[in-house]
Amino acid sequence: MTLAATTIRDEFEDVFTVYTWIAVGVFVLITLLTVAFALRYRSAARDFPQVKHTSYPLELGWIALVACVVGFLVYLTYGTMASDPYRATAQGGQPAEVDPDAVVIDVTASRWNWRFAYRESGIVEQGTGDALPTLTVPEDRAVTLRMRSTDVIHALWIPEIRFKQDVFPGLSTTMTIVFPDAGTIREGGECNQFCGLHHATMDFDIEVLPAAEFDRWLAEGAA
Amino acid sequence: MRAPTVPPPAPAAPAQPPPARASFVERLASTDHKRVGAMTLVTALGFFFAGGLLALLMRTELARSGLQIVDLETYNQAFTMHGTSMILLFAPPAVMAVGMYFVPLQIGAADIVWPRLPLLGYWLYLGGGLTAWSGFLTENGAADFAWFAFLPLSDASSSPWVGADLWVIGVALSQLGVLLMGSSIMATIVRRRAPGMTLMRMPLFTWSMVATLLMVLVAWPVVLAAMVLLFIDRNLADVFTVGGGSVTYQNLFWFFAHPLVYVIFFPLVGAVGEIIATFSRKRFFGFKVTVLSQLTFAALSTSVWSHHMFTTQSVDNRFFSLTSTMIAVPAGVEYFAFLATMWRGRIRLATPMLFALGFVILFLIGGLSGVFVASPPLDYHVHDTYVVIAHFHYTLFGGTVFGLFAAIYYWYPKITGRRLGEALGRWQCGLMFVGALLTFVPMFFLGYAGMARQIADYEAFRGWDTLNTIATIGAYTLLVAFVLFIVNVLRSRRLGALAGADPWEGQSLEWATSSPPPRHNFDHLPPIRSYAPLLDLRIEGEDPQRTAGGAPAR
Repeated sequence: MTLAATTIRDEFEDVFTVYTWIAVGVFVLITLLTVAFALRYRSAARDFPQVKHTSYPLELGWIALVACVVGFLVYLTYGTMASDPYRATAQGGQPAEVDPDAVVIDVTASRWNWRFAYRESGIVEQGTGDALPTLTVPEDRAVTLRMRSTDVIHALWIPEIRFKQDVFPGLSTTMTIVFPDAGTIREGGECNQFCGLHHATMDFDIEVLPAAEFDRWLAEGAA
Repeated sequence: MRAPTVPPPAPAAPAQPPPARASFVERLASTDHKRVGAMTLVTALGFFFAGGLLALLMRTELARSGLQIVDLETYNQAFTMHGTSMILLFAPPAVMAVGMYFVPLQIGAADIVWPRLPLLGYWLYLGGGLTAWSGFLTENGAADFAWFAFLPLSDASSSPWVGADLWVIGVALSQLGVLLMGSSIMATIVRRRAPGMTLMRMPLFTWSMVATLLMVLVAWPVVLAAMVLLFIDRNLADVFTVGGGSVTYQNLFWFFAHPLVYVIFFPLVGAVGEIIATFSRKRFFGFKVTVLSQLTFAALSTSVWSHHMFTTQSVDNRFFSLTSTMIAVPAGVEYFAFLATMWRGRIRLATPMLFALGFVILFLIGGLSGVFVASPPLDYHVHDTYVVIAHFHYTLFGGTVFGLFAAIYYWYPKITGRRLGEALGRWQCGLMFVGALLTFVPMFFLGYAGMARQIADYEAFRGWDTLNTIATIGAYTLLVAFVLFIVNVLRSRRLGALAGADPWEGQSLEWATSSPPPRHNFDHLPPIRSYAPLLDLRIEGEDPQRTAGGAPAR
């Protein structure tokens, strides 16, 4: 499988933008109507206006309209879940389409640190109480994290990538992601499932290297 | 024609001073649904203020980066007990309290079915709540594993302290109490409706309690089972073995806890609907469709729980995304009905109406942001971050708390015989509205930028200080609003205007009896020909010709 043309982050931002415009539109419309009605019909009159208090065509029409919007949003969401970058990773009941070229990193979460082990080269990066570990990854190449925990549930979240998955004891989960830009992301990875005392500081740095440099880094580590 | 409206068939005297106060023992052991309801409401507000103080502690710590006032352990206990207090010890009992007080009145019942059951429920609830809080008195403090107590973090090896056991026992007892109260209210609706009170003539609030209680009857036994199993797991034998078992616990917990979040705002949707109708001097618009939408909502509520588990890789994300997004349809019906009820009404902006309008606007933010997190690709990013914190605070603060204060300002005169002050009420409502925006809007941006929930600290280089400071200022604004409420209540006990039977020209039967109502609720009942029987009477009094076409003879 070749590398997808887009990333999870691109797909996320596309669907997020559409959701945001619809939500802002609905919010502005309903808020304006509420305020406008409250002011327009404000009255000290003591009578009881006898206007229609039910209208099936109007109500059913409104239900149909909302249902159409819901249908559109679900269609967008399903489309995004089926897009290449999301299909490449495991989500919900759906296994990943495995990329044979992906760099596989075994991730072990223990309270309150991360350990990253690179299969072929034997490189192991383990955080200590004093220093955060660094996840070193190549630019523009699929990275598969195979994750497990030695104690409680954690979650691995990389806000920059707009993605996270839970990390369980006794159960393996995976995520496959692509880092489009080389560079360092300070504390770019966080634990995102409350795991006890030092949960707040269970972070890691991310170093994204250009492909050639990453290969060199792997080879040096193996030697 | 401005004929004097028919006085509601209530006591002849327009306003009687409230009767002498009950003795202490009478209060504690009374099986009167009104007493138990009022006690439950006061107790629930007690847990609300206690949980609010914990929130202030957290907001104070988070105002600037760096740990300034609490240590990590205290912070973890604070958010665990804040969540526990608000979502388990305040909100469900509070809505049960309002239901217990007003459902029998709205359906013209003289008493509740199985009157001892809610009293037992109240004591289980109070005892359970205090049990969970008593963890603070133990050597290692209260529970500190977040209010959902995921395994294996909450098992005996990761959380060995007694505070954790007190939490499990406290949650089980208090929620058993809620279940008992709910059972009694449901049985009352089924068996004690007054002659003429057919199902489709029950007021919207009572109908919303039906939908709520259906969810309670399905979901609450599950939390009792989950807590018993968790207790056994912690103290006797492994129940949830590592691996799949932690997911099983999540399934059990959310099967309870998602209906739970609907349980704690549904009754207030009903109350807000009645308030909007009363203060628009109109019949509620689209009554039948709204009732149907609430029942649909309740049915859907049992099939959305796993949207809390999109990142576990153990549930079918597509299915739960579909059911969760579909919730927007019945919710949309309710909003349409609110607006259509206001349309061409005679709107009075008294305090209950102001709180109701606050509910409509703020709850909308919660609902719309809920549509975002129902989409797995969006949830993968924002799950367990401050985006979710902001989202559910707009549903639970904007929804439940605003709705509850709308209900309190609306029904307080019925319960006590005196009104709350309007000026203080307006200030409280305004400060709560501004406070809710200041506190929770910044959280959407913080969460999106990478701030996880349940963290005591963040580093200065992240640049989150300003937004967090704004949120903290908002939290203190809310504190001022609630102090004003307490002042208002204390002041009204002596200085509040006497309310009379029907201060707001209400539409349902609770306004047809004295304030507070007698022990047996009604001396006599007016005819019941629609879901707004008192409105029917007023319209007849105003113009007998109109009755045939105006009031529906159902």
